[in-house]
Amino acid sequence: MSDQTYLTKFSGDKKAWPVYITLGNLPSGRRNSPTSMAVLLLALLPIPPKLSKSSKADQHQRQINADTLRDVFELIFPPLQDPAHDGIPIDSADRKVRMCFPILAAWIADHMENVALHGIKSNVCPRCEVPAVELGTNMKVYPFRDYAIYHHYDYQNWI
Amino acid sequence: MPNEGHLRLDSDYESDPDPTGHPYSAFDDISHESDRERLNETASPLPSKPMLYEGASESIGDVKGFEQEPSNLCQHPWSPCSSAHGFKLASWFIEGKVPKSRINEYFSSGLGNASSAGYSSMHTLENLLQALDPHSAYLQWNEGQLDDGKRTLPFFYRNIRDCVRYLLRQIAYRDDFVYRPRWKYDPNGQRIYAEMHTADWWWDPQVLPHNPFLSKQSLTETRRDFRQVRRLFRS
Repeated sequence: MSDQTYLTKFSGDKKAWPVYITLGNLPSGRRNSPTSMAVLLLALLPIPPKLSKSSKADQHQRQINADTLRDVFELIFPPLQDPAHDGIPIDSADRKVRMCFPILAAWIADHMENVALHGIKSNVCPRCEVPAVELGTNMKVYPFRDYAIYHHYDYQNWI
Repeated sequence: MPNEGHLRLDSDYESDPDPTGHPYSAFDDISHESDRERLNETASPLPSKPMLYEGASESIGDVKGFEQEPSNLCQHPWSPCSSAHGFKLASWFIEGKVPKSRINEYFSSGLGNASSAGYSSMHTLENLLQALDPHSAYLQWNEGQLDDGKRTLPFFYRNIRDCVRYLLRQIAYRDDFVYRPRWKYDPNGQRIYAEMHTADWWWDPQVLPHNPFLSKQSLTETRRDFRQVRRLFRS
């Protein structure tokens, strides 16, 4: 789970962007209890500077920031890629070693953070390809977004 | 899923004693809750029974060096502090959120006995606290630099695999961990989806090294096989 949070008020607008991690092996009551401390701080992401909406150069810079943020995640998450497929022996709390397959199962984020993480427009659904004008109508079922294909198209256009 | 077999202190530190009066009874119970489930559950397809996937959560060995942990705790129950007084005083400082400057004043003004506490300032106390967590080596920070073309922004991250190792080793969660998915039903036979391990998602990508149904396959093929197994269970 992650979200941007303000560190200062009226004095520089300093912000932090923490990313936390926890385990799905714990029951939700234990996992979500603050006193059990089952949530670890995984990363403090870089905060891009404020940019105006009007300037075209700033819009270009905003796109560059979104791309570089993806590079940060490509640095943080690769340690899980191979164990998710092949497994890795991990010591458990009951002093047994188990073959574990750590998979990133869920990411809790608000809508604006989904916009920043997925590089989408702020008025579209991050989950499916419903047009912005049909949001909330629930008239038709649209396919889920496949961000891997988007990334492939983007790469094809880029080269 | 608390284990009702024995009462445990809700503690985050391994060195905390057990309120039952047997300070290291947590190490005496070898069998895990999931082991008992396997004995109690049968292969009966009755929907009122919780259903488990056989072979999941099997251990492949014992953790090396775990025998030393209880013996070390027996010899040095207040480790890394030298005495019970030092441990309780440090706990009182931290839980009371006493400022560092006031802790230094406490010792410099002569109120505290540094020889019995085992530390004489906030600096020496912090050194002890770093040794308190035996698995703190998993939580090292790395620093990266992000260049967006105009400026360089720093960011900090931990190894995500080590974070998983750290959480899975915490004895405080020993009786809460769930190592395999299961299907739960209420008395009316209705499926319960309250937890992550009782929903379908975990059942789908579950990959088992010793599964009698599966050989070494890719994750995609494994998921397809698990869907077939699930259909068999449902039918």
